[in-house]
Parts: sequence; structure tokens; C-alpha cells
Amino acid sequence: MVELKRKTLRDIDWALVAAPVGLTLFGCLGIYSTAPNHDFVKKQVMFLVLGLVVATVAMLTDYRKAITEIAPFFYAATLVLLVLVLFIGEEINGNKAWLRIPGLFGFQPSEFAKLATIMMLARFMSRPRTGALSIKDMLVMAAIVLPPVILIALGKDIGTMLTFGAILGAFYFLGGLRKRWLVAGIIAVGVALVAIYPHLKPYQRERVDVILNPEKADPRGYGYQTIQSMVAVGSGGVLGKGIGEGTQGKLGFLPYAYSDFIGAVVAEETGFVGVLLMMTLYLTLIYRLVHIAEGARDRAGALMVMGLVALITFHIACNLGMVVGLMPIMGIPLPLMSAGGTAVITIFAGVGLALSVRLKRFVN
Amino acid sequence: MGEWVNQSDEPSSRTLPLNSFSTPKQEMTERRIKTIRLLVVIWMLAIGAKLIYLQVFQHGKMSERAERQQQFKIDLTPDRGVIYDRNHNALARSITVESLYAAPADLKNPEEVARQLAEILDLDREQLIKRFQSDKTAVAVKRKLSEQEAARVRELNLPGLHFAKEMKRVYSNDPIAAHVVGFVDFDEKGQSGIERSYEKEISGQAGRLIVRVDAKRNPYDHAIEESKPGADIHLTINSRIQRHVEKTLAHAVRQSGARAGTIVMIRPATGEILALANYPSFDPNNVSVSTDEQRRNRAVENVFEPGSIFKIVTYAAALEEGEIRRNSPIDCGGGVIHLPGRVIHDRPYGSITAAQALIKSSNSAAILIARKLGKERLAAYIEAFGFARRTGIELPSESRGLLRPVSEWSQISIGAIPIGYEISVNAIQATAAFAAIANGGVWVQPHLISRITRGSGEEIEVIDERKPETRRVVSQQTADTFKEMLEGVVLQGTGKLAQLGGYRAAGKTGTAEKLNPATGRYSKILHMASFVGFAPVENPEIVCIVSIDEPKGARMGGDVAAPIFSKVVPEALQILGVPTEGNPEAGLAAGSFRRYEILPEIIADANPPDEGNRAEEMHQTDAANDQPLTASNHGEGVAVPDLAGRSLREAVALLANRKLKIKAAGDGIVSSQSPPPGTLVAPDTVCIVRLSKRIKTRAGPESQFISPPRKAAAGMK
Repeated sequence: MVELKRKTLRDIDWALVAAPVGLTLFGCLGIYSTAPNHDFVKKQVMFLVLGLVVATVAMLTDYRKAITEIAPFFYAATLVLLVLVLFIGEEINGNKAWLRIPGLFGFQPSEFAKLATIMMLARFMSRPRTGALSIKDMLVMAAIVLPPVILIALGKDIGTMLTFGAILGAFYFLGGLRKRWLVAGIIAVGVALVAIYPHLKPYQRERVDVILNPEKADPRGYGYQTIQSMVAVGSGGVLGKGIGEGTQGKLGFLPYAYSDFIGAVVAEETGFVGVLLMMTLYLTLIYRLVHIAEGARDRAGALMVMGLVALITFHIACNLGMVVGLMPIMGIPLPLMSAGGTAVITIFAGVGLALSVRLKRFVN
Repeated sequence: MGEWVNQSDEPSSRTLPLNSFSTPKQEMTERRIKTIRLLVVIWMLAIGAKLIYLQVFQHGKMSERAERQQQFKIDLTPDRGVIYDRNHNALARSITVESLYAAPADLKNPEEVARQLAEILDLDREQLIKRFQSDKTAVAVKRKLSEQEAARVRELNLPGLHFAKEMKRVYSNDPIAAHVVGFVDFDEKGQSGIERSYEKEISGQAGRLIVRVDAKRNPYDHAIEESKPGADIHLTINSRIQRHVEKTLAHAVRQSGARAGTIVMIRPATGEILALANYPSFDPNNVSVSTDEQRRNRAVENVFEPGSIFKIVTYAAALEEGEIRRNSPIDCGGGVIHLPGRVIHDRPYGSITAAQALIKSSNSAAILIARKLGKERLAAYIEAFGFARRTGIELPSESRGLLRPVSEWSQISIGAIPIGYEISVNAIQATAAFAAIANGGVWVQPHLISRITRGSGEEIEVIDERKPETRRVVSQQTADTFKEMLEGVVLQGTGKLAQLGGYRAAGKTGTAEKLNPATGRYSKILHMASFVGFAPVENPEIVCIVSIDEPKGARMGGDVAAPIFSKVVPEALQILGVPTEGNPEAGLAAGSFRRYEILPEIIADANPPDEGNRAEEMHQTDAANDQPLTASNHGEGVAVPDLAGRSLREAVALLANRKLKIKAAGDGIVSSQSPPPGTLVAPDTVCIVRLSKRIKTRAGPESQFISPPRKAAAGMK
């Protein structure tokens, strides 16, 4: 552990700290407006504080030590928790993803699993090697991702599964995937998307159809959520209806307003201006992380931070795409803003690790 | 960041037990990081574009959609206002009735229910069964049930039947003033009369109950947009007078075999319409069985050529302009007036006073007077008396009437307009013009509404109080003089049958030939018989027009309309509490009415005045008989008669009567002639006629007159 010296304080990327704190607080406004009671906001603020503590600890931990020594235990622990979820987990909104610590709070092991997987993949990439990824490399990487994905699939959490896919994809891409594999992969994903459509269940197909043609969709059907979200966003206009004034969110027209559709609440209440502020904060977060990855002294650190970028970006892209009606509903929350303590702690832990990479950028 | 590239060969960089962190980043990783960053930006831009689309361009639509799904709206229909007569008797009011609806899903045995309802409500059973097969949650069975119907349906006590309250307009059981009040359609919207023209005021403003609901349709808040109750309309109509007028009119029209009739009564000082009746009429409670003819408010919507009643404009104008005085001698000569290309025939009164000319309703005199006035002044007075423009009466579809601008008058217009042709008027205009005379020369806008109010008792709010437009048309002096002259018409002239027991009356008769729509010519048998007058003469309380459309038998205004006037006006004056004045005829005998004496030679005429008048109008009506009279009495020029359709024998006789010679060719009936009919020629002129067997034109009385000049001349009465 490095001492928290004056130099360390000066070296901290404060924008990288301010952006996630700001986003979490911004999210609290939306949660305050739409959650059934104030406990949700209190919890979120509590997790923000906890997240900052976790981030500080992570920052002061040498990321190399974290990757090499802590990651395997962390990874193993999350797998155990995921197994526990299958047996004693709580089901919320059709997803069996929560573990409840009696008398305290519930948490989602799958969120921790994301960070653990990123760290394990970075660990694998830290081996001395050059050139493009071999097939063996790729298989090993897939093997790292597969256990949590299988466990999560058993809990029917499709959005989280896709997130693991995105993380693996990011590591393949940055780790040196051959161009031909890259092209083949893009084609394969494209073909898979088209090929899978006719085999989707009717409700899933309806969720896709509403994106392609919102006017024709049955407003009472499975396109309901997408349509209500677009109505919320559109009725917010440029300046919004005012904080706490969002009728779509407050009256229950927006589904999961304080979790998956927190973006729609922000858009309705604070308008385009508010969304612009929110997106600026996210871009700041992503750009500072990318900047750290670019300045990292080694590939493992860079890839770990980029894994975090992939995680955050994928969530934002899918969630906001869903909120504005560009993507079908997939159950992917908005990082830091959606109510959910585990996700907040996970991201702050990641941010802490990224800061560690930054602090160590000139250190051997 | 080249310093990070390819440093893999430096083992010294290892600081941890594992060799792992000897692997620096590759150039490719750097590039791919940039690629990822670019993809992030592209995606963000896509989200931003969609946000702008939704929040800027679709904002209105989405806001509306949000609002729509977040509230229910329930219309609150206010009560329709009441229409009162001048004594606060309701002529139209709204009551609550019930409409029957069925929820098909809740009906136990739809066929049986349909059978029972069909019997009670007089509906078609098959249709009901069909309606009950609907998958709608509710279907209408019958709207606006009677009380008995509703009670009987209730007795059935069947599940699935529901009543809903609705408003229904009701008019009195023995409806009066149907053309004034009007009626409403099934949705309570005014369709005619005051109901239509004041629909906005009477119906009020619908309010709304807005219930805000959440996504589960639970109401959490509501707002009320208050409805504004309908306004009450207070009419100037006196129901007692109106009822009497309607009864008398209906009786008279039926008795005379006429097509229709109209009576309008105005209080001259105020312009208030006390009664307005048309026959045929309709029952506003049961509009569906009435015809267009019955629903038509002739007094307002129809125009007619007024004929002789229009002479009041000519006389009043000339008196006001100083062109004539009551006793000014007017040389009617031999009863022939020459206009460029036309000759107007009349009785040969010789030289008489203006007052006598009016009493006799002499066409020649009226035309001579009009000539003195000239076109412009005549037109100005026509306008001042309120003709050829809407009076602004508060009823829909008022006809303006037609009068060509002076610049478009033909050369014979000056011979037609002064005697009430080439101009069309509505009954309200004519009554108002007479009212101006009765009112000492001031025209007052006729109106039906005294005020519009909202609420009742202490809360009454007057929305509009009618202040009719007024304007002086002639001086008090002119009006007074002219009133006396018009009294002469009733005492001694064409209007004798308009005399009222107990009140002095004044007025003018009119018998206008109607244009036969089939032939486009003035008809010899279709007339508009009118009388307009007022009483009492000194201080008129009522001006009344009676016009009877196409009476059969007696056709003269003095014979058909004047007696009706004498029936309705005294009754109305009694209702108004106007004291009687004694017998005006007695007054004449005592010499108190000497001023109206007519010249001895006229009195000495073999015919008593009424019959003489009748003869005058008869000869004007029957052209075939009038021509020998004028021809023999006048030596200077002779008008060539219309011979078309006549046999050779008839043609010879007609021409011989006028001291004209004939030269005929052909066989059969006259098909052409030279000179054309109406041409002024010297006596002994030879007329050439061509006869032919092909033309058969003597089908009816109207078709006797084929050539256009005759048509125009005959039209001028």
C-alpha cells in the first residue's frame, strides 16, 4: 500500500472522482422523484459514501497486486456468491440476482462478478507475450468469462449476460484480436441478430418491433415500456418539467422509473439540458478512464481500465438507447444513477483501481 | 505515447514476483483504444440526435400524449336557457329525460329482452336483437324516453339495462310562435328561429371535469372547468296576441284557399314585435312530421313584390320633399301613362288630389309623383325606409330583398318601383316602414328580443339589453299628414274592410301579381294580397301586416287581407289595454273627418267607392277587358294589343276596338304580328298578322300574353 501523501493527493484525477459522484447524486434526484419512499435515496447516498471508501482503498492498493494476488480470490468469491444466489437468492422483477444479508441490505453478486472478471482477464493479458491473440488465448479468455455467465444465465438475467459478452469482446479487441477474426466476429454477430429474430418469443419480438416502428406498436403490449419512456423523454422538452414534477415517472407510467428508466426520469424532469449535463458527466468519466488507460505503464493496467470502460460504456449505451427508443428493453441499468448499491460500489471500486493505475504510471 | 511501445525486452521493469507486468501496451492496443473512444462518441451522438428529435421536435406530440393518458375528461353540459315571452311565460324550456342503454354482455336473454323492449318502446325487434349482438360494452336502445316508457322499462327490472339522464327541449303542448322560437335537433342544437340564431347564448358553455389518473387509472386529483349555464331569452312576443293572431290567420288562410299567410305586429314606438305568425306552421315538439313549407318562416325568409302597399314610400317621399301636398291636384288623365316603349294603363280618374289618388290606389298618380321625385330621391327614401337591406331581426336567414341600384334601373323602372314592382321586400321590412309613419317619421329597428339574462332571482345577470337602432325618415309633420291620408284609405278607399269597431285605423292595400315561376311572367291569377295598417291613428300602438299568398276567389288585398286586419288588431289592442275611441264612421258622418272628403265627381261615379275600387283593380288585372276602355278614351296614340294566340275573329275585334285596321295572312291562330304589341301607333294604322295552325298557346290565362312588352306592362299594378 502506498501512503496517502501530499503527492498522491495532487496526483489524483479529481475529474474522475467528481464525475461519478456527480452522476450518483444526479441519479438521487430521479430516485427521490419516483421511488416509493425516501429509503431509496438514503441507501443510494450511503452506498455512494461506501463507494468512495472502497475507491480510496482500491486507489491505494497497487493495481498489479490487485490483479495478480487479489483477483483470483475475488473471482472465486463472486462465483460462490453466484451459486448461493441460485439457492437462496431473491427474485426481483423476474431476475434472481439478489442476496440478502439479514437485517442489512440486499446486494447483487453479479455486479461484483463483472469487476472480478475484468480483473481476471487483465491478469491473463499481463503474461509476457506479443503479437495477436492465438485461438488458445481466446479460448482461455472465454473460459474465464463462462462460469459467471452460466451462473447468471441460470438466474435468467439476460442483460448481465450481454454485459459479460461486451467485456470479453473488449478484451479480445484490445488484446490483439486478428483482423480476420474481428471481421468474422462482426459478421457473426450481425448474422446472429438477424437469424435469431424469427426465433424470438413473441414478447421479445414485440420489444424489437416497437423500436423499428413505434407508431404501429400496440401501446398496451410489450412495446408499452419503450413508448412510455419516449413519451416521458419527449414531454420533458428542452428544459424539463422540473425536479419532482415528472408526471410520467411519478404516476407510474414509466416502468422501473428509479432503476432501469432513471434516464427517462432525468429527461422528463430536467429536459434536454439535464440530459446533456448527464451525458457530459458520463463522457468525462469515460474519457478520464481512457486517458488513464492510454497513460498506463503496462498492458495489464491499460486493459483492466479499458475493461471498466467497456463495462460502463456498454451499460450507458444500452440503457440510454433503450430510454430514447433506439434499442429494445434488455434490463440493463444506468451505471451510478439507477438505484442499486452493489453497482455503485463496483464502479467506485473500478474507479479506485483506475486511479491506482494512474498513480503508478511512472512507478516501476 | 511512444515511450510505452515495445519495451518488452526490459526485464528490469519487473517489480512484482510475477513476470506479468513486463508486457507493455502494444501500438495496436493504442489504436484500438482510440477506435473504442470513437465508437463511444458516435453512439453518444446517436443518442443525442434521438433526444433532440424527441425533446424538441416531438415535444408537443409527446406532451399531449402524456396529458391524454394522465387524465379523463367528462363533459358537463349546462342547462339550456329558457325562451320567455314578454310576460315571462316560458315558450321553450328543457327538462331532464332518460335514455335507455343496454350492456349486451349482461343481458340474460337478449332475444326475450328485445321482444319486451320492442313492445314497450315501439321499436323494431330484429334491429334490437342485432344491436344486442354487438361486442361493445354499451349500446343505445332508445334515447329520450317518455316518463311512461321509462317507468314500464323499470318495472321489467332486467339486468344489463341502464338509464342515462339527458336534456330534452319541450315547447308548450299547444305550441305558439313556432317560427319565432324555432326548434332543436336530437342533440339539443338549435335548428331554426331564436333557438338557432341564439344557439351560443342559449346553450351556454359546456364545462369539463378533468380527473387526473395514474398509470393504474386511479384518480388522484381533479379539476373542474365550470360550465356556463345557458342564457334565458326574453322575447317581445305577447303570447295572448300571438295565439289569437295564429288562430285567425290559420282560419283565414284555410277559408280563402290560399297557399300561405303571414301576420306581423309591431309596436311602432319601440320596434317590438308583438306577434309574428305564418301559416302553415308546425309543432316544434314533433318536427319530424312537418314539411319544409311548414317550417319556413315566411315573414323573414320570403320576399315578395309588395305592389300597392309600397306606394307609401312614394307618397311619403314626395310629401317630405314638398313635391306634393295632401290636396295637390294630380292629373291622372285618361289612365294611360307613357313610358319609353311602354304604356301603363289605369282607370281614367282625371284630375284628383293626392289624397284621393292614394285612396283609389291610382297607379298613374303614383308614377307621376315618382317622376317628380326622380330616381335618386326615390331610391334614397326606399333605403331610408329600410328596404333592400336586412332589418337585423334576430332570426336566421332573413332575406334582404332586391332592389337594383339606380344606375341599373331600366327606363320603365320609374313606372314600376313606385307601385311596388321590380322590388322585393320581406314582411318585416314592410311592417317597419309603416311603423316609421305611425311613429311620427322615425324608423325603429324591429326586434324580437327585449333582453338576455342569466340566472334567476337575486342572481340575475343581464347579458344584453336590446337597444334598437332608430333613424328619422320623414318629419313629424309629413308623418302626421300621411297618417291622415292613410286613414282615408281605410275610411273611403280600397281598405274599407280594415275598419275596426272602436278604433281609428289607417293603412294601405296591396294586390301584387306574382311572377309565375313556370312562365317567368306576371300571373293573372296568382296574387299576394296584402294590407298593412296601424291603429289607433292618433297614437298608434300596433302596426300590422297581413299578407295572404295566392288566395283563391277574392284576390284583392282590400278583400282578403283587410278583413283579417280588422279581426286581429282590435283584439290585440284590447289585450294591450288600449281604450276604444268610439266609432270612426260615425265621426265621418258628423263631419269631423271632412278633411278626407273626396271630390264630388268621384263620389258621383256610379260605382260606390269599394266597388269602383274593385273595378279599378279588376281592370288592371284582366288586361283583355281594360284595353277597349283606354283606347276609346284616348285619342292621341293607341297601343297595339297583343294578338298572339287569338283567332282571326278575336284579332279583328280587338283591333277594331282601338280603331286599328288589320291585314291577315294564313290560317288558324295569330302567330306573329307587326307592329309588335305595346307599340304606340296612330289610329287607323294597319296591323299585319300572320296566322298559323301550329302554335297552340291558349292553354291557360297566363299564356295569353306572350310578347315581352305586354308582360312588363301587365306587371305594373
